[in-house]
Amino acid sequence: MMLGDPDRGSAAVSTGPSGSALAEFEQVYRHNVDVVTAYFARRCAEPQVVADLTSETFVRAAGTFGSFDPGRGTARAWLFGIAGHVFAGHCAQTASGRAAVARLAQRRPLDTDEMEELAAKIDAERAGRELIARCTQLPELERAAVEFVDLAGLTPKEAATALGVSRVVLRKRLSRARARLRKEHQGDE
Amino acid sequence: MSKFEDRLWRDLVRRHGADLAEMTRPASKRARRARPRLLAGTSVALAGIGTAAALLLSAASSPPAFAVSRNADGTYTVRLQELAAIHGANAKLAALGIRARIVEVTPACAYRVLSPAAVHAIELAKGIAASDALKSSATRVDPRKIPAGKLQVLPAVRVAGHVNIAPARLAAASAPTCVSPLPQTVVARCAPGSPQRLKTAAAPPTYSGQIRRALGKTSATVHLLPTGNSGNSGKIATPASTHPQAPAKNPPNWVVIGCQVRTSPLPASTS
Repeated sequence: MMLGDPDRGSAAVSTGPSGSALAEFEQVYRHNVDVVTAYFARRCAEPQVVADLTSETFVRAAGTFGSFDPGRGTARAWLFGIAGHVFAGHCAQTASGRAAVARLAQRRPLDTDEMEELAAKIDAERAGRELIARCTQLPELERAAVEFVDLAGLTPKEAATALGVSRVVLRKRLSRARARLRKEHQGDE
Repeated sequence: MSKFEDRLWRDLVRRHGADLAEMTRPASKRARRARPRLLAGTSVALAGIGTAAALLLSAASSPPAFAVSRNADGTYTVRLQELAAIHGANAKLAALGIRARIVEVTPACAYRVLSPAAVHAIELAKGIAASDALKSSATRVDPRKIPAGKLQVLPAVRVAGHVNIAPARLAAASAPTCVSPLPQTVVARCAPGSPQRLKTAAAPPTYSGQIRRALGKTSATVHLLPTGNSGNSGKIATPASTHPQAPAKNPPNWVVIGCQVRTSPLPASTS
Protein backbone atom coordinates (compact mmCIF):
# COMPACT_ATOMS: atom_id res chain seq x y z
CA MET A 1 0.00 0.00 0.00
CA MET A 2 1.29 3.40 -0.80
CA LEU A 3 1.12 5.83 2.03
CA GLY A 4 1.89 8.73 -0.24
CA ASP A 5 4.75 10.79 -1.47
CA PRO A 6 7.90 10.28 0.62
CA ASP A 7 8.64 13.98 0.49
CA ARG A 8 5.30 14.63 2.02
CA GLY A 9 6.24 12.54 4.99
CA SER A 10 4.94 9.14 4.14
CA ALA A 11 7.19 6.83 2.23
CA ALA A 12 5.88 4.07 0.06
CA VAL A 13 5.51 0.98 2.14
CA SER A 14 3.65 -2.19 1.73
CA THR A 15 0.96 -3.50 3.96
CA GLY A 16 2.23 -6.91 4.73
CA PRO A 17 1.03 -9.55 7.10
CA SER A 18 0.94 -9.25 10.84
CA GLY A 19 3.88 -7.28 12.18
CA SER A 20 4.28 -4.92 9.27
CA ALA A 21 2.44 -2.08 10.99
CA LEU A 22 5.49 -1.45 13.16
CA ALA A 23 7.72 -0.84 10.15
CA GLU A 24 5.05 1.32 8.54
CA PHE A 25 4.67 3.37 11.67
CA GLU A 26 8.41 3.81 11.93
CA GLN A 27 8.45 5.35 8.47
CA VAL A 28 5.57 7.62 9.36
CA TYR A 29 7.38 8.64 12.54
CA ARG A 30 10.76 9.28 10.95
CA HIS A 31 9.32 11.34 8.11
CA ASN A 32 7.09 13.46 10.31
CA VAL A 33 8.56 13.84 13.77
CA ASP A 34 10.47 16.92 12.71
CA VAL A 35 7.46 18.79 11.35
CA VAL A 36 5.26 17.79 14.27
CA THR A 37 7.91 19.02 16.72
CA ALA A 38 8.11 22.28 14.73
CA TYR A 39 4.33 22.60 14.92
CA PHE A 40 4.49 22.65 18.71
CA ALA A 41 7.69 24.72 18.75
CA ARG A 42 5.71 27.50 17.03
CA ARG A 43 3.24 27.44 19.89
CA CYS A 44 5.26 26.81 23.02
CA ALA A 45 8.49 28.34 24.25
CA GLU A 46 9.19 25.61 26.80
CA PRO A 47 11.26 22.68 25.45
CA GLN A 48 9.70 20.30 27.95
CA VAL A 49 6.19 21.24 26.83
CA VAL A 50 7.16 20.82 23.18
CA ALA A 51 8.58 17.40 24.03
CA ASP A 52 5.47 16.39 25.99
CA LEU A 53 3.06 17.43 23.24
CA THR A 54 5.13 15.79 20.51
CA SER A 55 5.30 12.61 22.54
CA GLU A 56 1.57 12.70 23.21
CA THR A 57 0.85 13.10 19.51
CA PHE A 58 2.86 10.05 18.52
CA VAL A 59 1.62 7.98 21.44
CA ARG A 60 -1.94 8.65 20.27
CA ALA A 61 -0.92 7.96 16.68
CA ALA A 62 0.66 4.64 17.64
CA GLY A 63 -2.45 3.65 19.55
CA THR A 64 -4.77 4.40 16.64
CA PHE A 65 -2.52 3.45 13.74
CA GLY A 66 -4.75 0.47 13.02
CA SER A 67 -7.56 2.78 11.97
CA PHE A 68 -5.40 5.01 9.79
CA ASP A 69 -6.33 4.57 6.12
CA PRO A 70 -3.84 6.06 3.62
CA GLY A 71 -6.60 6.06 1.06
CA ARG A 72 -8.33 8.85 2.95
CA GLY A 73 -5.31 11.12 3.34
CA THR A 74 -1.60 11.13 3.92
CA ALA A 75 0.07 10.23 7.18
CA ARG A 76 1.19 13.82 7.63
CA ALA A 77 -2.34 15.14 7.36
CA TRP A 78 -3.51 12.48 9.81
CA LEU A 79 -0.74 13.40 12.27
CA PHE A 80 -1.49 17.10 12.07
CA GLY A 81 -5.11 16.32 12.84
CA ILE A 82 -3.98 14.50 15.98
CA ALA A 83 -1.51 17.26 16.85
CA GLY A 84 -4.32 19.81 16.64
CA HIS A 85 -6.41 17.81 19.12
CA VAL A 86 -3.42 17.36 21.40
CA PHE A 87 -2.73 21.08 21.42
CA ALA A 88 -6.39 21.92 21.97
CA GLY A 89 -6.40 19.57 24.94
CA HIS A 90 -3.25 21.19 26.24
CA CYS A 91 -4.84 24.64 25.98
CA ALA A 92 -7.94 23.42 27.79
CA GLN A 93 -5.84 21.94 30.56
CA THR A 94 -3.77 25.09 30.81
CA ALA A 95 -6.91 27.17 31.11
CA SER A 96 -8.24 24.97 33.87
CA GLY A 97 -4.91 24.76 35.66
CA ARG A 98 -4.67 21.01 35.16
CA ALA A 99 -1.80 21.09 32.69
CA ALA A 100 0.98 21.03 35.24
CA VAL A 101 -0.44 18.06 37.09
CA ALA A 102 -1.17 16.16 33.89
CA ARG A 103 2.30 16.79 32.53
CA LEU A 104 4.00 15.75 35.71
CA ALA A 105 2.15 12.47 35.61
CA GLN A 106 3.27 11.60 32.09
CA ARG A 107 6.49 13.52 31.67
CA ARG A 108 9.78 11.99 30.70
CA PRO A 109 12.34 14.55 31.81
CA LEU A 110 14.62 15.76 29.06
CA ASP A 111 18.34 15.56 29.44
CA THR A 112 20.60 18.51 28.66
CA ASP A 113 21.22 17.55 25.03
CA GLU A 114 17.54 17.13 24.29
CA MET A 115 16.75 20.41 26.03
CA GLU A 116 19.28 22.20 23.83
CA GLU A 117 17.99 20.54 20.67
CA LEU A 118 14.44 21.58 21.37
CA ALA A 119 15.48 25.08 22.43
CA ALA A 120 17.22 25.44 19.08
CA LYS A 121 14.09 24.15 17.38
CA ILE A 122 11.95 26.67 19.20
CA ASP A 123 14.37 29.42 18.23
CA ALA A 124 14.32 28.30 14.60
CA GLU A 125 10.54 28.62 14.56
CA ARG A 126 10.66 32.25 15.69
CA ALA A 127 9.68 33.50 12.25
CA GLY A 128 6.80 31.08 12.20
CA ARG A 129 5.61 32.27 15.58
CA GLU A 130 5.74 35.86 14.36
CA LEU A 131 3.67 34.98 11.33
CA ILE A 132 1.14 33.21 13.49
CA ALA A 133 1.03 36.27 15.72
CA ARG A 134 0.28 38.40 12.67
CA CYS A 135 -2.54 36.03 11.85
CA THR A 136 -4.33 36.49 15.14
CA GLN A 137 -6.85 38.78 13.50
CA LEU A 138 -7.72 36.13 10.96
CA PRO A 139 -10.48 33.59 11.49
CA GLU A 140 -9.21 30.36 13.01
CA LEU A 141 -9.59 28.29 9.85
CA GLU A 142 -7.68 30.82 7.75
CA ARG A 143 -4.94 31.00 10.35
CA ALA A 144 -4.62 27.23 10.39
CA ALA A 145 -4.63 27.08 6.59
CA VAL A 146 -1.74 29.53 6.37
CA GLU A 147 0.24 27.67 8.98
CA PHE A 148 -0.30 24.20 7.58
CA VAL A 149 0.42 25.14 3.97
CA ASP A 150 2.91 28.01 4.22
CA LEU A 151 4.77 27.00 7.37
CA ALA A 152 4.38 23.27 7.87
CA GLY A 153 4.60 22.50 4.15
CA LEU A 154 1.44 20.48 3.81
CA THR A 155 -0.30 20.43 0.46
CA PRO A 156 -3.71 22.12 0.39
CA LYS A 157 -5.20 18.66 0.10
CA GLU A 158 -3.37 17.47 3.23
CA ALA A 159 -4.28 20.63 5.10
CA ALA A 160 -7.93 20.18 4.15
CA THR A 161 -7.84 16.62 5.49
CA ALA A 162 -6.15 17.68 8.71
CA LEU A 163 -8.64 20.49 9.27
CA GLY A 164 -11.65 18.46 8.27
CA VAL A 165 -12.83 20.70 5.43
CA SER A 166 -13.14 20.24 1.71
CA ARG A 167 -10.30 21.17 -0.60
CA VAL A 168 -12.41 23.89 -2.17
CA VAL A 169 -13.08 25.51 1.18
CA LEU A 170 -9.43 25.22 2.15
CA ARG A 171 -8.23 26.87 -1.05
CA LYS A 172 -10.71 29.71 -0.68
CA ARG A 173 -9.77 30.33 2.94
CA LEU A 174 -6.08 30.11 2.16
CA SER A 175 -6.36 32.55 -0.71
CA ARG A 176 -8.38 34.94 1.42
CA ALA A 177 -5.89 34.73 4.30
CA ARG A 178 -2.92 35.35 2.04
CA ALA A 179 -4.64 38.35 0.50
CA ARG A 180 -5.33 39.84 3.93
CA LEU A 181 -1.75 39.26 5.10
CA ARG A 182 -0.41 40.80 1.91
CA LYS A 183 -2.61 43.81 2.40
CA GLU A 184 -1.51 44.20 6.03
CA HIS A 185 2.12 43.86 5.01
CA GLN A 186 1.74 46.57 2.36
CA GLY A 187 0.00 48.75 4.91
CA ASP A 188 2.91 48.34 7.31
CA GLU A 189 5.32 49.51 4.63
CA MET B 1 17.50 12.09 13.84
CA SER B 2 18.13 14.07 16.94
CA LYS B 3 18.66 12.53 20.34
CA PHE B 4 15.16 13.58 21.39
CA GLU B 5 13.64 11.94 18.34
CA ASP B 6 15.63 8.75 18.87
CA ARG B 7 14.62 8.52 22.51
CA LEU B 8 11.01 9.21 21.69
CA TRP B 9 11.04 6.45 19.11
CA ARG B 10 12.48 3.99 21.62
CA ASP B 11 9.77 4.99 24.09
CA LEU B 12 7.11 4.44 21.45
CA VAL B 13 8.48 1.03 20.55
CA ARG B 14 8.63 0.08 24.21
CA ARG B 15 5.03 1.17 24.80
CA HIS B 16 3.39 0.22 21.53
CA GLY B 17 5.89 -1.94 19.64
CA ALA B 18 4.23 -5.22 20.52
CA ASP B 19 0.76 -3.91 19.65
CA LEU B 20 1.96 -2.49 16.33
CA ALA B 21 3.78 -5.69 15.51
CA GLU B 22 0.57 -7.63 15.99
CA MET B 23 -1.60 -5.05 14.24
CA THR B 24 -3.26 -5.79 10.95
CA ARG B 25 -4.21 -2.57 9.27
CA PRO B 26 -7.10 -2.25 6.85
CA ALA B 27 -6.02 -2.05 3.25
CA SER B 28 -7.02 1.03 1.29
CA LYS B 29 -8.97 0.84 -1.93
CA ARG B 30 -5.81 1.48 -3.88
CA ALA B 31 -4.05 -1.43 -2.21
CA ARG B 32 -6.99 -3.75 -2.76
CA ARG B 33 -6.91 -3.02 -6.45
CA ALA B 34 -3.21 -3.83 -6.63
CA ARG B 35 -3.35 -7.05 -4.64
CA PRO B 36 -4.25 -9.55 -7.40
CA ARG B 37 -1.27 -8.50 -9.50
CA LEU B 38 1.06 -8.71 -6.52
CA LEU B 39 -0.15 -12.16 -5.58
CA ALA B 40 0.23 -13.38 -9.14
CA GLY B 41 3.79 -12.14 -9.23
CA THR B 42 4.56 -13.79 -5.94
CA SER B 43 3.18 -17.10 -7.10
CA VAL B 44 5.33 -17.09 -10.18
CA ALA B 45 8.36 -16.23 -8.15
CA LEU B 46 7.72 -18.97 -5.63
CA ALA B 47 7.21 -21.52 -8.37
CA GLY B 48 10.59 -20.64 -9.74
CA ILE B 49 12.28 -21.07 -6.42
CA GLY B 50 11.22 -24.68 -6.22
CA THR B 51 11.54 -26.43 -2.91
CA ALA B 52 12.92 -23.51 -0.96
CA ALA B 53 11.18 -20.55 0.57
CA ALA B 54 7.61 -21.39 1.36
CA LEU B 55 6.87 -18.08 2.91
CA LEU B 56 8.32 -14.67 3.14
CA LEU B 57 7.12 -12.57 6.00
CA SER B 58 8.39 -9.08 5.80
CA ALA B 59 7.77 -5.75 7.42
CA ALA B 60 8.43 -3.28 4.65
CA SER B 61 8.73 -3.18 0.89
CA SER B 62 12.31 -3.01 -0.31
CA PRO B 63 14.30 -4.19 1.48
CA PRO B 64 12.01 -5.72 4.09
CA ALA B 65 12.76 -4.74 7.67
CA PHE B 66 12.67 -8.38 8.61
CA ALA B 67 11.92 -11.69 7.00
CA VAL B 68 11.39 -15.21 8.23
CA SER B 69 11.67 -17.72 5.43
CA ARG B 70 11.38 -21.48 5.57
CA ASN B 71 14.07 -23.50 3.88
CA ALA B 72 13.71 -26.82 2.14
CA ASP B 73 15.41 -28.68 4.98
CA GLY B 74 12.88 -27.50 7.55
CA THR B 75 15.06 -24.78 9.01
CA TYR B 76 14.14 -21.12 8.97
CA THR B 77 16.26 -18.17 7.90
CA VAL B 78 15.74 -15.08 10.02
CA ARG B 79 16.81 -11.84 8.37
CA LEU B 80 16.81 -8.43 10.05
CA GLN B 81 17.48 -5.08 8.39
CA GLU B 82 16.21 -2.69 11.07
CA LEU B 83 16.49 -2.98 14.82
CA ALA B 84 13.04 -1.43 15.09
CA ALA B 85 11.63 -4.51 13.40
CA ILE B 86 12.74 -6.82 16.21
CA HIS B 87 9.29 -6.76 17.78
CA GLY B 88 7.67 -7.64 14.49
CA ALA B 89 10.14 -10.40 13.80
CA ASN B 90 9.67 -11.86 17.26
CA ALA B 91 5.90 -11.70 16.88
CA LYS B 92 6.22 -13.59 13.63
CA LEU B 93 8.53 -16.18 15.17
CA ALA B 94 5.99 -16.65 17.95
CA ALA B 95 3.14 -16.90 15.46
CA LEU B 96 5.02 -19.63 13.62
CA GLY B 97 5.64 -21.49 16.88
CA ILE B 98 9.40 -21.07 16.63
CA ARG B 99 10.97 -20.74 20.05
CA ALA B 100 13.61 -18.22 19.03
CA ARG B 101 13.76 -14.52 19.79
CA ILE B 102 15.92 -11.70 18.54
CA VAL B 103 17.52 -9.67 21.31
CA GLU B 104 18.98 -6.25 20.67
CA VAL B 105 22.52 -5.66 21.82
CA THR B 106 22.60 -1.95 22.62
CA PRO B 107 24.41 0.41 24.96
CA ALA B 108 20.99 1.84 25.78
CA CYS B 109 20.07 -1.36 27.54
CA ALA B 110 19.85 -0.55 31.21
CA TYR B 111 20.12 -3.95 32.77
CA ARG B 112 21.72 -3.63 36.15
CA VAL B 113 20.48 -6.82 37.66
CA LEU B 114 20.20 -9.54 35.12
CA SER B 115 17.92 -12.47 34.86
CA PRO B 116 19.50 -15.85 34.21
CA ALA B 117 18.45 -15.53 30.58
CA ALA B 118 20.17 -12.17 30.32
CA VAL B 119 23.31 -13.55 31.86
CA HIS B 120 23.23 -16.29 29.30
CA ALA B 121 22.63 -13.74 26.55
CA ILE B 122 25.73 -11.87 27.60
CA GLU B 123 27.64 -15.07 27.31
CA LEU B 124 26.25 -15.37 23.84
CA ALA B 125 27.26 -11.82 23.00
CA LYS B 126 30.72 -12.65 24.21
CA GLY B 127 30.76 -15.74 22.06
CA ILE B 128 29.64 -14.08 18.87
CA ALA B 129 32.23 -11.38 19.17
CA ALA B 130 34.98 -13.73 18.19
CA SER B 131 33.24 -14.96 15.08
CA ASP B 132 32.57 -13.50 11.69
CA ALA B 133 28.86 -13.87 12.28
CA LEU B 134 28.38 -10.16 12.82
CA LYS B 135 28.98 -9.58 9.14
CA SER B 136 25.62 -11.09 8.28
CA SER B 137 22.11 -9.73 8.63
CA ALA B 138 20.62 -13.23 8.61
CA THR B 139 20.95 -16.44 10.54
CA ARG B 140 19.42 -19.87 10.40
CA VAL B 141 17.23 -21.46 13.04
CA ASP B 142 16.28 -25.11 13.28
CA PRO B 143 13.14 -25.36 15.44
CA ARG B 144 13.57 -29.13 15.77
CA LYS B 145 16.81 -28.67 17.65
CA ILE B 146 15.40 -26.31 20.25
CA PRO B 147 14.67 -28.32 23.40
CA ALA B 148 11.27 -28.00 24.99
CA GLY B 149 11.12 -25.15 27.47
CA LYS B 150 14.12 -23.40 25.91
CA LEU B 151 14.43 -20.37 23.70
CA GLN B 152 17.06 -19.59 21.17
CA VAL B 153 18.41 -16.07 21.42
CA LEU B 154 19.49 -14.27 18.26
CA PRO B 155 21.61 -11.29 19.33
CA ALA B 156 21.25 -8.35 16.94
CA VAL B 157 23.53 -5.35 16.93
CA ARG B 158 24.07 -2.32 14.71
CA VAL B 159 27.67 -2.06 13.56
CA ALA B 160 28.82 0.71 11.23
CA GLY B 161 25.23 1.50 10.26
CA HIS B 162 24.30 -2.06 9.40
CA VAL B 163 22.18 -4.41 11.46
CA ASN B 164 23.86 -7.72 12.05
CA ILE B 165 22.40 -10.81 13.57
CA ALA B 166 24.37 -13.58 15.16
CA PRO B 167 23.87 -17.32 14.97
CA ALA B 168 21.28 -18.71 17.29
CA ARG B 169 22.33 -19.87 20.73
CA LEU B 170 20.22 -21.57 23.32
CA ALA B 171 18.94 -19.53 26.20
CA ALA B 172 16.58 -20.14 29.07
CA ALA B 173 12.80 -20.21 29.00
CA SER B 174 12.61 -16.45 28.52
CA ALA B 175 14.71 -13.95 26.63
CA PRO B 176 15.59 -10.44 27.76
CA THR B 177 14.37 -7.55 25.62
CA CYS B 178 17.92 -6.33 25.18
CA VAL B 179 21.44 -6.78 26.43
CA SER B 180 24.29 -4.37 26.80
CA PRO B 181 27.31 -4.82 24.60
CA LEU B 182 30.54 -5.82 26.21
CA PRO B 183 32.54 -4.47 27.83
CA GLN B 184 30.33 -3.06 30.50
CA THR B 185 30.06 -3.59 34.17
CA VAL B 186 26.92 -5.49 34.92
CA VAL B 187 25.96 -7.31 38.03
CA ALA B 188 24.13 -10.55 37.74
CA ARG B 189 21.42 -11.72 40.07
CA CYS B 190 23.06 -13.22 43.09
CA ALA B 191 20.64 -15.71 44.49
CA PRO B 192 20.29 -19.46 44.83
CA GLY B 193 19.41 -20.97 41.52
CA SER B 194 21.32 -18.52 39.40
CA PRO B 195 23.16 -20.07 36.50
CA GLN B 196 26.49 -21.33 37.59
CA ARG B 197 27.87 -22.33 34.24
CA LEU B 198 30.22 -19.39 34.33
CA LYS B 199 33.93 -19.09 34.30
CA THR B 200 35.57 -17.70 37.39
CA ALA B 201 37.90 -14.84 37.04
CA ALA B 202 39.85 -12.74 39.43
CA ALA B 203 37.95 -9.65 40.44
CA PRO B 204 39.96 -6.48 40.18
CA PRO B 205 40.05 -4.67 43.49
CA THR B 206 38.48 -1.56 42.01
CA TYR B 207 35.26 -3.40 41.36
CA SER B 208 34.89 -5.17 44.65
CA GLY B 209 33.34 -2.19 46.40
CA GLN B 210 30.95 -1.56 43.53
CA ILE B 211 29.91 -5.17 43.49
CA ARG B 212 29.46 -5.23 47.23
CA ARG B 213 27.21 -2.17 47.05
CA ALA B 214 25.19 -3.62 44.21
CA LEU B 215 24.65 -6.88 46.02
CA GLY B 216 24.01 -5.39 49.42
CA LYS B 217 25.25 -7.59 52.18
CA THR B 218 24.86 -10.77 50.25
CA SER B 219 27.87 -12.96 50.54
CA ALA B 220 29.02 -14.06 47.20
CA THR B 221 31.83 -15.06 44.99
CA VAL B 222 31.75 -12.86 41.95
CA HIS B 223 32.52 -14.21 38.54
CA LEU B 224 34.10 -11.82 36.12
CA LEU B 225 35.44 -12.08 32.66
CA PRO B 226 38.14 -9.96 31.09
CA THR B 227 36.86 -8.60 27.83
CA GLY B 228 39.94 -7.18 26.20
CA ASN B 229 40.73 -3.55 25.76
CA SER B 230 38.17 -2.30 23.29
CA GLY B 231 35.21 -0.34 24.43
CA ASN B 232 34.02 1.91 21.68
CA SER B 233 31.78 2.25 18.66
CA GLY B 234 29.31 -0.31 19.86
CA LYS B 235 31.48 -3.20 18.82
CA ILE B 236 31.36 -6.20 21.02
CA ALA B 237 34.72 -6.85 22.56
CA THR B 238 36.40 -10.16 22.21
CA PRO B 239 37.26 -11.82 25.46
CA ALA B 240 40.95 -11.50 26.10
CA SER B 241 41.26 -15.11 26.98
CA THR B 242 39.21 -18.20 27.42
CA HIS B 243 41.17 -18.75 30.62
CA PRO B 244 40.14 -15.85 32.83
CA GLN B 245 43.10 -16.18 35.12
CA ALA B 246 45.50 -15.62 32.26
CA PRO B 247 47.03 -12.17 32.49
CA ALA B 248 45.78 -9.75 29.88
CA LYS B 249 48.34 -8.02 27.70
CA ASN B 250 46.56 -4.71 28.11
CA PRO B 251 44.59 -3.45 31.09
CA PRO B 252 41.36 -5.37 30.62
CA ASN B 253 37.80 -4.22 30.85
CA TRP B 254 35.90 -6.45 33.16
CA VAL B 255 32.36 -7.62 33.05
CA VAL B 256 30.53 -9.33 35.84
CA ILE B 257 28.65 -12.20 34.33
CA GLY B 258 27.40 -13.97 37.39
CA CYS B 259 27.89 -14.71 41.00
CA GLN B 260 27.48 -17.55 43.37
CA VAL B 261 26.03 -17.32 46.84
CA ARG B 262 28.40 -18.40 49.56
CA THR B 263 28.25 -18.51 53.28
CA SER B 264 31.52 -16.72 53.77
CA PRO B 265 31.82 -12.94 53.45
CA LEU B 266 32.74 -11.37 50.17
CA PRO B 267 36.48 -10.80 50.24
CA ALA B 268 37.80 -7.37 49.55
CA SER B 269 39.45 -8.72 46.46
CA THR B 270 39.52 -12.17 45.00
CA SER B 271 42.61 -11.50 42.97
